[in-house]
Amino acid sequence: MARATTHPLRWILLFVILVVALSIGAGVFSSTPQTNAQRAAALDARLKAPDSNGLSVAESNSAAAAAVRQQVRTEVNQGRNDSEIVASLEARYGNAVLLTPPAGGLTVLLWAVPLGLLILIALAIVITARKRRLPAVASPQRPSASDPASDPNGEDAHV
Amino acid sequence: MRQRRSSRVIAWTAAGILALVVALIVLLAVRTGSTGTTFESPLVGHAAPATSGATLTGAHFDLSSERGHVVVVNFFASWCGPCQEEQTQLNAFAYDQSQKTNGATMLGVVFNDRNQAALTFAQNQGVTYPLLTDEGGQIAATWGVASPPTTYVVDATGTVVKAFVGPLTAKVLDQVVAPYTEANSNG
Amino acid sequence: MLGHVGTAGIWLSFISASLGALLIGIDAVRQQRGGSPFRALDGRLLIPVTVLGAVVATVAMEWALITHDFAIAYVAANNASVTPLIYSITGMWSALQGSILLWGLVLSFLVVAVFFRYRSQADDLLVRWALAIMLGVEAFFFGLMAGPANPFVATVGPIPATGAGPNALLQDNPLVAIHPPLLYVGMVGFTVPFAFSIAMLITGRVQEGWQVDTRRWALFAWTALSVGIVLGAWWSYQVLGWGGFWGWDPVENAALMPWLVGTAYVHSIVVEERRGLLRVWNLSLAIAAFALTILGTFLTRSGVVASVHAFSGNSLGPALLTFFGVIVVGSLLLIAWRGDQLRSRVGLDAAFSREGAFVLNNLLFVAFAVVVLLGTLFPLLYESLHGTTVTVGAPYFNAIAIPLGIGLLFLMAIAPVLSWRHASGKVMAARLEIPAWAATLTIVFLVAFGVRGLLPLLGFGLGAFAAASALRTLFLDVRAERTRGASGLRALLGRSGGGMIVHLGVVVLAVGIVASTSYALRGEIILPKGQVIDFAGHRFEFLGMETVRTPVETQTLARIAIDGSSVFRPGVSQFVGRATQPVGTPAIDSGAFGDVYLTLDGVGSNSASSTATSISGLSAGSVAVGVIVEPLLPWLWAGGLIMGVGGLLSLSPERRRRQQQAAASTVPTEVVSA
Repeated sequence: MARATTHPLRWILLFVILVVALSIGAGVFSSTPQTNAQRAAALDARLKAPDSNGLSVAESNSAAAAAVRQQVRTEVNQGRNDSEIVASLEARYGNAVLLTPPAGGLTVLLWAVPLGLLILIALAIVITARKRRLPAVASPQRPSASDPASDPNGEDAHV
Repeated sequence: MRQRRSSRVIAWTAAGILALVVALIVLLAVRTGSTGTTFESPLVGHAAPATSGATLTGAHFDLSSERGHVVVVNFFASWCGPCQEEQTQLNAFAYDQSQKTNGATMLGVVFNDRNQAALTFAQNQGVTYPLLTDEGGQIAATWGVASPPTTYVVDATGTVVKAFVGPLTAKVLDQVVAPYTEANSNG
Repeated sequence: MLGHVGTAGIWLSFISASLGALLIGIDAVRQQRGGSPFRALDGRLLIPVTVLGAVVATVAMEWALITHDFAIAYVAANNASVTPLIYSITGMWSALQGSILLWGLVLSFLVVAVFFRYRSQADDLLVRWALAIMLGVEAFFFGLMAGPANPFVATVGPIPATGAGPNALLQDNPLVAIHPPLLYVGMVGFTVPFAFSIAMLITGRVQEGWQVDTRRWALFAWTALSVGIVLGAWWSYQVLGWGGFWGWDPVENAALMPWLVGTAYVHSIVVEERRGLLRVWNLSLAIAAFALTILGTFLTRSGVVASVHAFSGNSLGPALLTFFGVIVVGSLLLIAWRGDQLRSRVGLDAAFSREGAFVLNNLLFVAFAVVVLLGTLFPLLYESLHGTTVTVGAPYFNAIAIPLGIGLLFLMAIAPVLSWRHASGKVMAARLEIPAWAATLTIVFLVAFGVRGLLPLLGFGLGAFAAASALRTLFLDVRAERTRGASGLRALLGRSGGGMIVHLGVVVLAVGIVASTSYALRGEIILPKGQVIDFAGHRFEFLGMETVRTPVETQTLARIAIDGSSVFRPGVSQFVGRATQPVGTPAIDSGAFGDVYLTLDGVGSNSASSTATSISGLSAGSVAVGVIVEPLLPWLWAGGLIMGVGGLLSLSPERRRRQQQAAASTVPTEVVSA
């Protein structure tokens, strides 16, 4: 039903427009350095309000969160870099100010598992893609109530 | 052949998942029921922060005046479930210690709560030891308190020696405090 | 008195469910061995009895709450004499034991519904097993109430004149009346696919398409769970005051995990229906979804995880954990024993096909569920080994969710145009050309309007891509229906139409999430009375304070005019009864293009306020107001609504299939399959 042909040129044009628009949108062509306020805000999003179970200091309006925000602001203005600021806050509050467990040791598991799953999925795709096609025999399953709704327009009729 | 191989795949996959689930259940079974655990406070081994202010009854309290005694500092709130659980235990501990010579002193600090609510809580629970107010949360901030109940043990020299999060029992506190009060008596 | 009635109801359900499960189970074993079931002692007669017991207990509890009967400890702890009617009613599920009663009530109705639906096949062995298993689950939950979680325990000591009242956060928003029941319908609903899957494993009968038959139950449960979760997000958005709607809280994750597996299931079931594949996988998914609901119940009721949501009380932990263990271990053993006999003999023809896309969808959703489980349990694991607490917060989950969401949006766009068995890249490209242009032009349009940020733009673009693809399928479906002489609206019914509408709802939801999280502006402004302050593109003016007193609460509100027109009143509420701290009540100015979210952060010292925090240094007559501007946030709720509508539409029966023509004709007006 749909045209079985497509014009590669239209697709190339589409990709070019897409890439250009995304590059502009991603800020590739403009660069304003991050202001102190932006740096502080980014750090605030990474730190936990010590008196909460998982709220960041950017989101919490408790007194403890305000105290952390104050310290972040001060240290950013003093010109310290991100890891120094996080370290000094950790020295004062311990783990209670971190939104992600401290690196190393068991925390590796938190990142290893998603990565491992991703690799497994990629492998599964590759293996299935390389499989030889099975002969198109009539399968023994029930031929009846399977799904008319998935192809009511006869798009897959010739499959 | 294919049938046997695929049945092995299924069996092994099931066995693998079974092992993981059993590990999970063991982990959760061990954790069921929360109790106080030590937590790595950066204060441990350092001098306790200067802590003073008005108590809920209007008196003035200064931690430095307790130098020479072991002090147990407990951050609590009236809305906190585990705090309600442990309060009878803390009362019992405080009473026992008060009967000893050179026993530990208990101090409570209101955490993220209204004074009126904390006072009602204290009255309902029959708390007899001083309870410091902390409007604005400055004291909690300097001690680095994450959530109640958080309890610190300060030895006679004013150094923080232990930190706990979660509800404690009188028995545990007695055990924890014993070496420091004994050292105090002897030294 | 009411307490005794209620307890009697619970015991009635417990005994009849246990007995029913036992009798039907024995019948099933006899039938499986070739014997005949007992005629005299038909356990199925006990099924309505379980409903009776559940209803009696529920009515007793509600009556006790509405009449403020403080002789029952649960009522004394969750209700006060001044509690309004609606919050008395919702008090039934506001705390631990009552929530189990709600679970039991929903489950008892579900068992009756299943019994009724399959009454013409009542003597089928598989139906017997399924009913026995469902009654077994029901017996467990009523057993919890008969034992450690009895909601009708009498008050110890003198009966108080008034109770403690519900938790403050559970009586300041009417959504407490909808979210928990709907969520429970969703979670409990997964008992049906589970029971039938176990029945299939025991009897060894998968080929007959029972899995597919129970698809509708799974879809119903999934729809309820989806809407329930979105409503939960809306509720927490409205009351918790931080302007967010999802915190990756363990309790939230406990509902999300079955939903993720359920989503995988409603997709892969299509592959089984159409091609007979993935049978053992589907059995496993159905069992996993149910097991995760039990695990979630355990996590939220055992005190193992700390959460603002968690019910307090440790009494249920061991029982729920044991139940979870029994289910999982038993199911795994069954699968290991029977799994191979039940596999389909053919596999995927090609990775690049509709089936392949669905399998990838499944892998991604299940992987995500595994990661969410890991993130939720990691603090427990860490604490067991190191003895210190850590938090796994939003940054971790977002790092996983964002790439996954992008991948799933893309998959959602291309899957409907992929052919079954072997898809051709050329055909797919031809079908996707218009949606691809829609996506590209959307991005160009947004960039031209000044929208910046690679990830949000990708999100919007892919959303447009997926939406255009879904609309394309819908359009073709409508046209096909018209060609048959039926109303075009018929195309919206059934799995394809309903499914595309659900996808549209997902896109709307996703766009709302992307926009509100990427472009939110937060700040705290000091508003002296009468002065207009500009912030984040809006004008704010403080008009004055207001105090509202009802028998149940005292509200201190600040009247704030936004943009010179509507007045909103963020404030702080103090409820009578419990010695709790006051709770903030945010005010939200909702519009089609975004929300302005106001919280009262403080009043000037010396202001007459009994509840709001007074800030020293703030002059009397000024207020500190937290403002969060969140673009497109209401699209989340709209998206959830559309998903719910789509889910309901997908439940309607398929048009009966006419004989499938074998012709390879591609003439568009000729309908090949119906």
